Amino acid sequence: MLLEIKGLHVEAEGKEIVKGVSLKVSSGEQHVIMGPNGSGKTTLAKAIMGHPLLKVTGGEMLVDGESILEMKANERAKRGIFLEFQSPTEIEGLGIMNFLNTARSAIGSKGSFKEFMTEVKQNAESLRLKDDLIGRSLNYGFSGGEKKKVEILQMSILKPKIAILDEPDSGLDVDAVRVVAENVNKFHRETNAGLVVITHYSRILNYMKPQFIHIMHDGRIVREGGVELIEEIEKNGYNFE
Amino acid sequence: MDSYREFVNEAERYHKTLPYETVDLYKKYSVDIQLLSGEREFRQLSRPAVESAAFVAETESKMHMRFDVVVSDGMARCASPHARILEGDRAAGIVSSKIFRSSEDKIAAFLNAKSRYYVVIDVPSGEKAAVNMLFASTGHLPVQVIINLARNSALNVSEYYASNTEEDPSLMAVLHEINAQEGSRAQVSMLHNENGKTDVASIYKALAAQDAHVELNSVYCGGRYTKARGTLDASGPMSRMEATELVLGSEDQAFDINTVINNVKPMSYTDLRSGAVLDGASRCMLKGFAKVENKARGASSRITERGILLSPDAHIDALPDMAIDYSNEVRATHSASTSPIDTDALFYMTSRGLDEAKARQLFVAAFIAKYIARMESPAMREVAMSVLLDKLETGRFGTLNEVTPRNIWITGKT
Repeated sequence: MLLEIKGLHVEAEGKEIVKGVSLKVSSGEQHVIMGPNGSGKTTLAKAIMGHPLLKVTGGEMLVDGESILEMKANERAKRGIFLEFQSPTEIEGLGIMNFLNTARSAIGSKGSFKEFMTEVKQNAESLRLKDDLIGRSLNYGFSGGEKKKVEILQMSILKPKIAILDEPDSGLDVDAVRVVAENVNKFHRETNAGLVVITHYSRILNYMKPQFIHIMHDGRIVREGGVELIEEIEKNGYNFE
Repeated sequence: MDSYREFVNEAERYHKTLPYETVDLYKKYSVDIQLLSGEREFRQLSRPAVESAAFVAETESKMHMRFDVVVSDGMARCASPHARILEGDRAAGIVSSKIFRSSEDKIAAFLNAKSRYYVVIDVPSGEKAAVNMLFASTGHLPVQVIINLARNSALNVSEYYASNTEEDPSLMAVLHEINAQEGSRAQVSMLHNENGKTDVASIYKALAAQDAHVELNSVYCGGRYTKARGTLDASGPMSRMEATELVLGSEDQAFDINTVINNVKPMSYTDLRSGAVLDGASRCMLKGFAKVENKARGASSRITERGILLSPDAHIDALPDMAIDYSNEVRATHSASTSPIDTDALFYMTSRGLDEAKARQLFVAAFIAKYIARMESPAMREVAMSVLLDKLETGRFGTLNEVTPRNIWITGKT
C-alpha cells in the first residue's frame, strides 16, 4: 500500500496549522516525524485519519492512487489506515474487548471469536498489560502508559497497512518504552505495514530502525534525511529555521 | 377497620387539596401534566383476571424469569416466604406504621387513598432475602411496597413494571417505603417499561438507621409521562443512602425526577447519581436536592447529574441543589453536565472502523451500562440492558422482546 500526501494544507478553527506537507509512505517502510511542540505533527496525523473538525484547504491525500480526502474516518480505517492517538479518549462503561471486537468486525477482519480472544491475550501479555486491564472500560482511569499500550494492542489486532503512531513514547518509563517499541517492531515484522512514528525524543528510536526522518517546523517539513538527522537533533535541538 | 377508613378518608382529603409542587423552583421545572389525569373519574378497572394472567405469563416467558411476587389488575400472587400481599382493607394493620403521611405529598395521598394492593416485605434479623417482583398493568395499577428490614438483615429486590393497557391515559402508580434497621442492607432496583399510553408515578421514602445501607436503582424507559419523587434519609450515624437514576427517553416522553438525599446524623453518607439519554422530542428534569442537617458532623453528600442529547429537539434541565445546615467537617459536592456526544470520542471510535451510527450507539450503550452496573442481580442487569438496548436500536418502548444476554456491555461498578 502507498500513502501519498501532496502539498497538504490544514486549518483548525480558521487557523492554518499544516502548510504544504508532502510525504510518501509505502508498506514496509519506517518513517519518523520529529519536531518541536506546536509544529503541526498531531494535526497532520489527525488530518490523515480524517478528523471532522479539521479542514483540508489544499493538497491531496492518496491511497494507492485513490483520493481519500472525501472519505470519513471509518472508511479510511477500512482502507488500512490506523492512528495511535497521543491522548486516547476515555469511554467509561465501554469494555475494551467489546470495542475491539466491534471494530474488527467493522473493518471486515476474519477469524473466529475464539481466535480473537487468543490473539488479544497473547498481545496483552507481550505488552505486559495487567490481567484485569482488558476487562475494564476503554482507557477509563488508565495511566498514560496503559493507554499507550492499549493503543498498540488495538493496532496489533486490527492489523492496518499504514499505522501512524502519535508519540507512542510519551508518558512512558524506560522499560515501558522498550516494551512498546518491541511490540511495534513485532507488528511491523509480522504485517509489513508502513509506519509513521511521531515523536519529540529519540529514545524510542534506539529500539527501532527507521529509514526516513522528517523534521516538521511551523507546519512544514523543513528537513528530510536518514537516521543521521536524529543525532543532529540530539546535538543541536530543533534549530532548523 | 375504622382506623383504615379514617386513613383513606384523610388521604382523599389531602389528595384533593394539596398542590403537585410545593417548592417554588420546581414549580417552574415540572412536567406540566395532570399525572393523575384519571383522578376525577379514577376507578379501579375491572379487567378480567384471565387477561392479566395471560399478560403476566407472556412477560415471564420473554424474560425467562418466574417472579416471586406478581401484582396485576385483578390478580396478585406471592411465592416468597418474606413477602405478603394485602388487598384493600386487609392493609388496616399496617397503616398506623406507614412512614409516608398523606399530608406530606399529593401523590402519596393519592396512593394512600387508592392503592388496592400492598406488598409487604419483612426480613427478620440476621436473615438474607431476594425478591423479584412484576407489576403488570392492563388498566390502572396503584400499588404500595412496604419494606421492613430488621437488624443486620439483607435484601435484594428487583422490580419490573409493564403495561399493555389500551386505556388512554392509564396509570401505573407505586409508593415505596423502606425502613432499614441497624446494620441492615437493602438494594431495590426498579425498571419501568410501561407502554406509551401509561402515565407513571413513582414515589418513595427510605430511612436508614445506624450502619444501615440502602441503595435504590431506578430506570425509567417506558411510559408517556413520568413523575418520580423520592426522599432518602441517612437517619442513623454512619448510615449510607445511594440512589442511581437512569432515564432513556424518546418521542415525546417526559420525565420529572425529583430526589432528595438527606444526611441527618454524623458520619452519614449519601450519593445521588442521575443520568439521562434523550432522543426525539423527549424532555427530562433531574431535580436532585441534598440536605445536610445540623447534627451531621463528618457527613458526606454528593449529587452527580449527567445528560446526553441525541436530538436537537430533546431537552434536559439538570438542577442539582443543596442546603447545608452543618458547615464544618462536611463534604458536599454537586455537579451537572449535559451535551451531545463528544466529537473527539466519535472520531476515536470511527477511526477504528465503526460508522458514526454504530459509534453513537456504542457510546450511549456505554453510558447506560455504567448505571446498570450498579444493580447486584445479574438477571436484572440482563433484563435492563436488553430492554434499554432494544429501545436504543429500535426506538420502541413499552414492549418486551425476548431478553437476550447483553451483559457484555457491563464492565463494572463506577
